[in-house]
Amino acid sequence: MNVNHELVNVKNLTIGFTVEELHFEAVDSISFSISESESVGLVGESGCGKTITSMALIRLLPSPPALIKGGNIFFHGKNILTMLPEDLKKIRGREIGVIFQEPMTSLNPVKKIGIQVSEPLRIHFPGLRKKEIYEKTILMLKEVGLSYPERVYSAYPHMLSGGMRQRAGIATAMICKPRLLIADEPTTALDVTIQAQIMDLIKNLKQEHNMSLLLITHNLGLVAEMCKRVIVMYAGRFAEIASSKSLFHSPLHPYTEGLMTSIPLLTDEGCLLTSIPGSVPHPADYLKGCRFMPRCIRKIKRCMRKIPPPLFLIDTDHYVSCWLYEKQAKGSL
Amino acid sequence: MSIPIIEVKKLKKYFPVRANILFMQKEYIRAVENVSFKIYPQETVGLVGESGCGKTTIGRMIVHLEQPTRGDIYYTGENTRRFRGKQLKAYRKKIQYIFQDPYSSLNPRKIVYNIISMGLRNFHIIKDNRKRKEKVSEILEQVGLPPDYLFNYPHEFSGGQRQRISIARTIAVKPDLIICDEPVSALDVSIQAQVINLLKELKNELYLSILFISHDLALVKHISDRILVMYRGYIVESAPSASLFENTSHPYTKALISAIPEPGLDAHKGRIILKGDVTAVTGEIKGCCFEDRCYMSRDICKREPPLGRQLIPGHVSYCHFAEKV
Repeated sequence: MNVNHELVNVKNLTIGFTVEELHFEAVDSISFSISESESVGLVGESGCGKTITSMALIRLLPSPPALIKGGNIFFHGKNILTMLPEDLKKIRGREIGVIFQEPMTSLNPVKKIGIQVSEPLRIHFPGLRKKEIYEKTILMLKEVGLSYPERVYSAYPHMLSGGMRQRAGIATAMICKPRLLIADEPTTALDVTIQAQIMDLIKNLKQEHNMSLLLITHNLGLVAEMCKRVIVMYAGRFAEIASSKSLFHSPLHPYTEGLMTSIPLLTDEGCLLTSIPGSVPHPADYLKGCRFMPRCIRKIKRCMRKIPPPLFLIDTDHYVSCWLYEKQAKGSL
Repeated sequence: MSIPIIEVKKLKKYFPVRANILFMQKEYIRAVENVSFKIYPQETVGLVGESGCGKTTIGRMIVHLEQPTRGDIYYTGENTRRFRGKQLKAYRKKIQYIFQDPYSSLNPRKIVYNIISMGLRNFHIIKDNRKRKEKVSEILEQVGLPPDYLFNYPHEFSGGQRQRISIARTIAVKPDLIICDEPVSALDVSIQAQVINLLKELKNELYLSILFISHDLALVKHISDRILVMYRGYIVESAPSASLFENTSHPYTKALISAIPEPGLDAHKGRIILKGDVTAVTGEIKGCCFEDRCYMSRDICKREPPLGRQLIPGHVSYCHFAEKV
């Protein structure tokens, strides 16, 4: 990894939550980086902290209940966590664009699509004339594949279908040509054929504008297609970081393995699926040591210890947080 | 061949949306159009399609939660349309339903014992209180829950456990057919496999038939013997599981299969990206239902509805150009 081209650098980020006097750490001391024009996938089940991590990147977490307890987030060398609100405004929507999960709820129901899509333009480029803004918005709407941009411009969100709304959401995120696009489960609310359309669109836009992409999803298949590097998250910590090639060829962490064998594939025959026993723990019940240990089928004595396993370096750019690999490790993060 | 448990003949369901009071004309959303299929004993039939294609409506019509506009449903050869009173009750016992969302389908004010024993009491299967309790504990064990959960409320369980409770509720009354309406789509990936395995095991143990409704083609392939693919209320292709993937003969099925992201490395070659969106139609469709999004459509597709053709025994496709897909 070349330090010069690093766009985002997160170090030892810990995010705590206080809910009804219950205190827990939803994200526990995670570190990662995204280089320029790189696409990184963040995979995990619901409640593992992936959305919280991404929202922390642009400081969109409501505080309270959330509290960033430690760590730093550097975007282009500037620390986002200590930034003044005015400077933060200049980054949100301009340098970092976000596509939210549900196109139904992320758009304002009482504002026309065009007004919402052009909002980042009006905020970040106050010098632009109305006509220019209109033209740029129409162009953007066309670029995301909406066939009647003029009609969509003056439509309200409820008049559009789910796929069209998500396209409008993408247009909003993309209109200022950000350097980093955070896509938080962009297609979970959509049908498979529409999902294919949207992913294809994001891929093309990313290539055209040379953006970095952070794709958050629970769908391993999507990540395999879209991302060069994958981070697998479990219960607030990273379980495995690897290039998508080596992750899908040789998953190391028992959790990653379990995830892959529990999805039915088109290619396999109708035998029983190997499932992971138990269920995802509540953040208040997180263990000090390895958090996957109670569900793990390959646990050893070391796993009972109250120290979290560090991310061991196994192969070039393949890190795994599991005691099983302590002896083969070439180093650790 | 034995008599099918459920036979559906030319089923239609229209939902009225707007009435023109002046001319007394009504507009309808055509949710289900001329759907016919059979489910044989111990068979698992998968029903796949995107949201709004009418798959849930079919399931609801079979259990009489919805009355069909036209067409009939036969239970072991008898027309269920005329079922009333005792006969209807007996029918309801034989056909059970598992709902999509385990968070809203269990009554939050009832304990697990009451939820599961409801069927046993309602259908007078076990009248003795003590015996009933024993039976419920037995069923709980069967679905992989410890019997000491009998007196807990639904909110104390996780999503996967709740879905197990719903399954326990349905198998308690010894049904012939279970209709599973997206039983795992509200669950986490690692939990989904547990529930699917449970369904498969129970099916073999209790000699059940299953109508498995889902939008996930890979999942449906995994569990089903036969698959029906739906689009806009029409069945576009119906085939044995393996044949559907090997000899795909409808452009929609082909696009659907190609759209599934697979966690392999070379899986995304040859993807077909469809144009446009599924639109709800109120008027009658003259030609093929898939014509406006199809990458193969010709003039004939606009004019004439395709008839079902059997290219391989048991594999029916509703496409004018089925051979060329």
